[in-house]
Amino acid sequence: MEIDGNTLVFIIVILFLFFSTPGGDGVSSQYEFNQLQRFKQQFQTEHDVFLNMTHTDNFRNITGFKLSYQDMLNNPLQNATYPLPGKGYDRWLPNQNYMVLPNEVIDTINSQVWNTSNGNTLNIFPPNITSTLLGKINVVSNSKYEKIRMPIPRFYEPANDFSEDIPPEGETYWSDWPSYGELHNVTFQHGEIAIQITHMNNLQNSNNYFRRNFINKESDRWKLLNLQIDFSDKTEKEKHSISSKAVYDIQRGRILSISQSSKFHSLFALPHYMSLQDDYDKEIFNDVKQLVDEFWNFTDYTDVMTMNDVQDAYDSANLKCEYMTFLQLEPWNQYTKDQIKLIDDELNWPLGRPVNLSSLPPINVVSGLLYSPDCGLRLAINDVKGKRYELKIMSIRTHLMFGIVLFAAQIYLLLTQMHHTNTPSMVNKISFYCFSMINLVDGSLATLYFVAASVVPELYLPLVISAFSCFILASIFEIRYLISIYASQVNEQNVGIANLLRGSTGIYDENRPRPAFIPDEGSIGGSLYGRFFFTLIIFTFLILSSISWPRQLRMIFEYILIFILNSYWIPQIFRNAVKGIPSRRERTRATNGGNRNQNKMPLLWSFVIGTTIIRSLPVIYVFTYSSNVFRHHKDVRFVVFLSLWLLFQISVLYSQDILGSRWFLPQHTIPEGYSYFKPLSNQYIVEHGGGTVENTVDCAICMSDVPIYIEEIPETHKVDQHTYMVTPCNHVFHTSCLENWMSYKLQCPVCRSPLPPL
Amino acid sequence: MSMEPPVGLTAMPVTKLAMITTLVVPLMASIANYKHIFLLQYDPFLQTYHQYYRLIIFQFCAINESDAVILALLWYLFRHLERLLGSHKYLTLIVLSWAYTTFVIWGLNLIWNSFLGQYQWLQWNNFTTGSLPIVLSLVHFYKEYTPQIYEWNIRLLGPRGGSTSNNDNKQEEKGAVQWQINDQFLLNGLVLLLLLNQGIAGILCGFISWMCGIFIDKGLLPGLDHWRIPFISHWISQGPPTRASVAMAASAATSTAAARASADAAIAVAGSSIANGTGPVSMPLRGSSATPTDTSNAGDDEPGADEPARPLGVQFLDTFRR
Repeated sequence: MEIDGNTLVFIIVILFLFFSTPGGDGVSSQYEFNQLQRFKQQFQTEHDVFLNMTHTDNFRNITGFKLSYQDMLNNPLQNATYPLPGKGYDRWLPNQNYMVLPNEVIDTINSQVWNTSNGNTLNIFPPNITSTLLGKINVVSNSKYEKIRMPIPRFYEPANDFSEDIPPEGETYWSDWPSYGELHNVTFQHGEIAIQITHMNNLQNSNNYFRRNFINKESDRWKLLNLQIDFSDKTEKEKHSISSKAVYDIQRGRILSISQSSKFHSLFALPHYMSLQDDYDKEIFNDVKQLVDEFWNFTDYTDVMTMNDVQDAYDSANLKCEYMTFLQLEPWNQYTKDQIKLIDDELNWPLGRPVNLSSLPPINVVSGLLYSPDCGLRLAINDVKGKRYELKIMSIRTHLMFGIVLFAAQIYLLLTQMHHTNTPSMVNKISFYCFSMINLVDGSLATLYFVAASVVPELYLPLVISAFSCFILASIFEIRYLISIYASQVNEQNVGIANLLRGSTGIYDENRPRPAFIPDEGSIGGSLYGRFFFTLIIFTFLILSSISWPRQLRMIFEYILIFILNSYWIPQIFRNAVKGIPSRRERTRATNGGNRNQNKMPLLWSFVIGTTIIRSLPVIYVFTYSSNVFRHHKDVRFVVFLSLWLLFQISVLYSQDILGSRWFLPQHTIPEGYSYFKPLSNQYIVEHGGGTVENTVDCAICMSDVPIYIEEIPETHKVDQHTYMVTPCNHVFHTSCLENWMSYKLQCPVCRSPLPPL
Repeated sequence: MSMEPPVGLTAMPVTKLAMITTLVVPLMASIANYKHIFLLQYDPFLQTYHQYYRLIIFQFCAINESDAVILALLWYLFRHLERLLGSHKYLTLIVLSWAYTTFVIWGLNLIWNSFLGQYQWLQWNNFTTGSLPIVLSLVHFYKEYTPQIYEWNIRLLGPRGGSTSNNDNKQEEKGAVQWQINDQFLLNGLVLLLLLNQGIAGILCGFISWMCGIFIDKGLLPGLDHWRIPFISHWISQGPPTRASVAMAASAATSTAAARASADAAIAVAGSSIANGTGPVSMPLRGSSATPTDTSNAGDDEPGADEPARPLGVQFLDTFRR
């Protein structure tokens, strides 16, 4: 490409548009700049207060902690102001006078949740607990406790018009707004919970050599975690999700997580809420405070804040309750610390160390409590457990490799099937829709694998290999086969089913416009590929979006879809009936005839059975194996039903093979098929002219004479009618000549009008 | 034996096996995330964990992709050895090299570390990955028994070399660097790369393996002269690929129809020659079997054999071609 002035200007404009979008902090107006400044400033001042806080100090003006539970009991309409008259800010005791939790909840935490190891630290807990834990959650109370009023500062609100530069002052309360309903409440009693734990690892920012900061410096005792908690009722109509930082006390196996938003700055509350008992709380307080401070300094907490953080904080303050989560892990006392270190190393960086990973116990939260101070909710969880993330990845990898083997087997079967039907007449008997359905499933699997490969980097290689093998199967072999099927069936377009049953593509008519352009495989391939990718994209989006639908709708969709996609032999059964393949006995009788190849069943039995097994194995696994990797529910009845359905289809196919493909149709509904072998009248010779010898015509293929049977001339009656063929357009060829030609194209060699397949 | 080697790996089952192993095992291992079991180190695997199975399997998989590729190329170059020795003897040589190099390297490592192992910086800890020891032991055989076919010179002239003047040729010669390179320089370069790619361990183990190769050849490490791997002679083909067997393998791949056609053609020619009453009958047979392409062309002319049955490989290629 030649670069002239215009191109250069164009490129510069594009680059300008590209680089002039909101930069790192996402600020796009003066108003937003002020918002972000206020946001940072607020955190900065609260951090200063936090730095001066000791374990005997109360929270002062930290957002969300200005009021204690007792304050709300005293005056339910109390506004969160600082300083509150008559409130003691120089003392701290773990009770409801100072905390946002009621005494009852504090007692429960001390006696029932965090009770595994208090003063003693003899229990051993795994330091690395990256995992996804699954279990049940119960609502203990959603109306009993007083709700603590938490205001949202008004500077978070988006601007009303463009001229506005300064964000408004003041605060608003939920009670001032119209009702938000279930967003601020949990209305079900029993539900399911998933807790996803990831670590903030021990990193150092080595960019600045002289000011190195560390995070998780004491990683053998304390760790910062990221917790993603999702819980919902069984039908998934009501979903709640909490995403927050958490502190993990490795010595005692405790996890504390407090959600954070614009009305609740929980980062500064972690030290106080981690130490709920009097006797050793000073030590814990100082450790956690140091941990939080390290985190603050390491991440340059306020410096890297962006407009996104402002908007997220505002959104989650509006739409969600704040939750404090207290979890107690089950100790792994069967291991020593060295063994656990060895296990961790092996999981992180596998080298074949002598550890038995298969007997590794799950990460288990034996007891847990969720309390929402601003919504007055209390929830309890028990025995929420899950495998270590690395182990889970290993098991998914095994599954993927099994899937690759299945794909390879399917490719091999398809190749043998393609080899079996290598003439247009054979391909013509295969149903286009049968293979379209198979192809759709394979194609969308390939896309799903590609999507997954970008989501799960640990499994990139096996996922890409799966996607690749699947894609080869779908877009090269199956599409290739579909193209030849389509090409062999082009003649039959716009032909009624009755004519098809008769086996011809319509009565020959001189005046009927012959197709001026019969598409070749190239153009068919183009249109089929277009159609393939289009349906693929639509279908994949449908599947991806269906994952987030409510459970009931999702299940109905899934069952119907699986049922339809597993009916892939039905179109072939219809196709067989239309094409009218004779029964096995007639076929063996006809083998001494000329066209023995033309009467085989179109589908190989090894292909039919192999494909059915390959395609139903994953479904059977997902529906019958209760702890499958997809977390899919168990439903044996559906699998049995599906297997019976597939078995029914195969048995119908088999009966067509044995009894002839039209055995279930009443005799009178089957019209007479077109026969290439028939006597000719004398008039034919007169019209078309004979060959060099009497009572013969020229075969246009081999250019030699064809002796024909003419009704009016008895001398010709010893000619076997099976030695020549008469096309519907009244052209005569040798049987062997035309059969050879018809294995390439179903078109009359003389006039190009379509020929009914043999 | 002709100077130009047969193209491809037709009738070279051992080379084919070695190349496929070199490339497929690493691929499978990395998909399954089990590459680490092919890693061999004295500490901790042998000394602490006593995982002696690693000694047996470490030569089957190169951990670096570059090593795997270099090894595959070297195995391809070594197909001359298979041609020279015959598949059965070649496989025996490979297995013997594998066993001897593994034992010798391990033994020397044990001896070294028992004397000098207490000094951390003197400990011989790392081993090579992949089939480097086997290949280095085979290098000796390659150098010993394959003839050098051609060589050429590279002259690097100094600045203002050839173009300036014709007079002072003497000075020119002074500044010129001359390298003599023969047809084995690709092999030499690849072996050098392979050794350097694995560092000190590569050079050390490579040297030991070369010695093993020499000793196997001289009979100091016994086995090659009298012993062959039993029970596999029917699996390995009849021996070194000759021109005739290559042609046979190629023509076996063409269709029965084409074969029939060529037979028909041969008979027809023979018949005509008999009718003319001249020449021996054996002439057309030699003509039709000299090049397999001739026979397939003959098949095309035959009416009724216009659709030769395509083998699976051809079908596979046709899938992309059409």
